[in-house]
Amino acid sequence: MILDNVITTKSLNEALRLIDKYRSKAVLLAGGTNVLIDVQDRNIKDKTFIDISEIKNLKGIKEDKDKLVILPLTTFDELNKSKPIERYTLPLKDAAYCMGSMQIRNIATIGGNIINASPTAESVPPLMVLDADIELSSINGKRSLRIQDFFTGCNECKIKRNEILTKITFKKMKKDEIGFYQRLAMRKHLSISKVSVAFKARLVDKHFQDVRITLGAVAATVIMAKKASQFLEGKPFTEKIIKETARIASTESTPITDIRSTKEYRGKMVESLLLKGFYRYIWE
Amino acid sequence: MQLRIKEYSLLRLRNAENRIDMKKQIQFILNGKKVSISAQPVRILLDVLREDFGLTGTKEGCKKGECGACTVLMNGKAVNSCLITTNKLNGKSIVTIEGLSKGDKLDKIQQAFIDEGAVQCGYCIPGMIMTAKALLKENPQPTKEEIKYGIAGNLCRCTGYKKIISAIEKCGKEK
Repeated sequence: MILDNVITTKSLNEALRLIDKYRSKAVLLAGGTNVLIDVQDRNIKDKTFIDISEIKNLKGIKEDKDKLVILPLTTFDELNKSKPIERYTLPLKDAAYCMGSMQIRNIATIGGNIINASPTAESVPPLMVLDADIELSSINGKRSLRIQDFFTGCNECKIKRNEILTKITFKKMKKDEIGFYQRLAMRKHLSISKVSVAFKARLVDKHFQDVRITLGAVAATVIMAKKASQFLEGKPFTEKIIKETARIASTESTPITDIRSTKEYRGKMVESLLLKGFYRYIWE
Repeated sequence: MQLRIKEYSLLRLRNAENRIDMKKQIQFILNGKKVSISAQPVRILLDVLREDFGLTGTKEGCKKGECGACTVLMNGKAVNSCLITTNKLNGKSIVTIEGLSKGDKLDKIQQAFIDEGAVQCGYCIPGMIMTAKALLKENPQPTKEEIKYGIAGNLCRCTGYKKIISAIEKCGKEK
């Protein structure tokens, strides 16, 4: 494989100028675990690849008293090994653990995972239950969006041609909050998910509050399971209630039949994965 | 003459912006030795290792990062060389399967794979050993479950993985 035009930059400002210049011809290259496969599979030509993987101030995890900030070039290996991620972001920790393989996690970035905008993206269901904000930068300035408002379709999102994702921010989970991420795929690792789910809520006197449930790979984008979240809100943590919650969530999915699975199986697995998450991570 | 000057100016501008200098080399360390390759065209590390340096121990499998046959170490971390573009190599240290042994003396992991009978057709083995090397560096005494997690990115169609896992576990216990 040969890439004809590759510009490697170590400067965010230079990257912003370049992407503004090349616009629709520009392809950002970070870890390359999606882009290089696309280049082969879709025979992508006549593009200018802007390699941003060396931009140091787009890499890292920062925390203050209430919030975590993840910079987009942070790899899944770094997320997987991060103490703050483990302590304060249960669903994202789960996702980082099961994403890819050791080799992939060493180079794949959370920014690339988000911007690829796949409904099977590992980081998106957790970031949505964490109600993350994302910052997009261009030569014209910065803007922030809630990640749950960011995706518009399969591999489509609201990033403009001259923008780069520069920050992901969310509130740390508190001690009375619980959460998980579960996925199902052909292999335990590396395979693209057939179904994924993420969950976060507060547990106050064994009652659920501030419930957020997301479903991945069962619609054109990762979706909020609003009806299931509303049903569970204020309810006690009983087996009957979580089973009904999982059933309702399943009815909110709109899966398709493709090479990975059938829509019937996917719908059923939404229910199973939610229950698995509850039983494994929460049941005491 | 004017057209040539204009073309030359545009080329200089493009070169300055793109840093496409036909003489530019990328320098990195390969199995402990400093090497350099042309910066253009940008290729993938797997092809460079096999075609430019004749290091055919690193195998091409899927070329998509799914099989692990092309695994090498980059700055000590296991990566799929089919997903590393040459522009990323400046100043990096790359170790391939050929770089593990010292002359005729095999690395401990290589010997363990032989002793445990973990090699059948051999195609997955270089990648598997490089992954094991990275795993043992981070986790010197992994459990079976940790080994399985560590080698999840390496496919083997022959062995059923049991003896591969035993070989890595044995290396861990010997340290």
